[in-house]
Amino acid sequence: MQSSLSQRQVLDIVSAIGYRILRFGGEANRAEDTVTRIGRAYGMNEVHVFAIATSILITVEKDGESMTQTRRISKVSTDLDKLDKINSLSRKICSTETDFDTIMNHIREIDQSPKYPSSLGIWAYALIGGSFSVFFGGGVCEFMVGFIVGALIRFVKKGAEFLQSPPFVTNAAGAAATVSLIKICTFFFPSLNISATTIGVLMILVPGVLLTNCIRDFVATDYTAGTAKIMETFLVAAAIALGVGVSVFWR
Amino acid sequence: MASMIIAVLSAFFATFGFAILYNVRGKNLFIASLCGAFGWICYLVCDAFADSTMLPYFVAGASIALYSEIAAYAFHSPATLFLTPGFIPLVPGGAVYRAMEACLQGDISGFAEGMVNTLKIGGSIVLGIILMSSFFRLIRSGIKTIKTRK
Repeated sequence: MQSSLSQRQVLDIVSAIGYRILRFGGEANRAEDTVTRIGRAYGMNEVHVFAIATSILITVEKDGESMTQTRRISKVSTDLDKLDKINSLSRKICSTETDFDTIMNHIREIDQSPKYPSSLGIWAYALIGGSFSVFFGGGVCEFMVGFIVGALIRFVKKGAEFLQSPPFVTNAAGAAATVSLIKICTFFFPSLNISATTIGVLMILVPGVLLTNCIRDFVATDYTAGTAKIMETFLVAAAIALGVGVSVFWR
Repeated sequence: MASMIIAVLSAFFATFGFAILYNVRGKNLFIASLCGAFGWICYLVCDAFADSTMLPYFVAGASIALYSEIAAYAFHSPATLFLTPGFIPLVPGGAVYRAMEACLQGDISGFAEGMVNTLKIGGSIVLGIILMSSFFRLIRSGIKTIKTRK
């Protein structure tokens, strides 16, 4: 396909899209695949791209000239809705040729598309805590405690993030707060099923996106990206275990 | 039976909560939540028939991967959109917790047993997902190859 876009513009577009896929919680392989497709569709002879969870490196080659851009993803902010939109945008611009300004405007629009309000996050945490407490064998009482403690964990996590604490400390603090708060709740509900409630609330801290992307990276033979994510999940698990360890003091 | 229905319902709502945290919107929110419930239904059905701890988790992992790949194909969305929230109810949180509890009580053999159990469950789920996702990759690349050869 003969394209009206210059090499430089194509590189800008693919970097912007690849960067966003990784930032919104997409797999490394999805970023590589999308960038290659768009580059080819816009007349590049060769597209070389290497992505891991924290960085993406793109080289586009046309008529013997090559250009490279790298982007660093310093903080992943999972947003699967924006990932979905970026995905459909890249499908669209692959099938029908679009000019540079329109594509950049679309990307800007996606950046500003709505997110659920922060207050809904509290309800989501509460719902997860309550539902999982029931899931692991609790009753009405466990649901209520899980609901309340789940909502409180949201404040602990937000507070830790506000202080820019490292993820390890955030998770350990979340787990420690869970165990302690449930211990306090046993004074009001002596017959509380402690293990069901604790497991239920701790499920909030499970790094779901990391786990799924790690598996999918391995499927796509992106072993470098996958291994890095496995290490991160083990570290999160260790942090939660450490946090649960404070329950020693409550015995 | 009633406890099974409650478990499936709570899996649905827990997945719903996670889907909100990941900012899944519109009809995808419902489809993603259903993925979690579907995975647990498959687990329960298989658990009722099979005399094994690992097989039900394997089947559940494979079924949520199948569900999300089909949904991804039908709605032109990335499969991660459905797989990520749907995966959460299968995470062996209970096994890890019991292992940790044994460790805190100084019961090292209980801890080792719990960790092996966790790895068994986690490995089965992951293998199920890997099998199904790889199969779909094969189909997709196969179709592409046949199309370009024509």
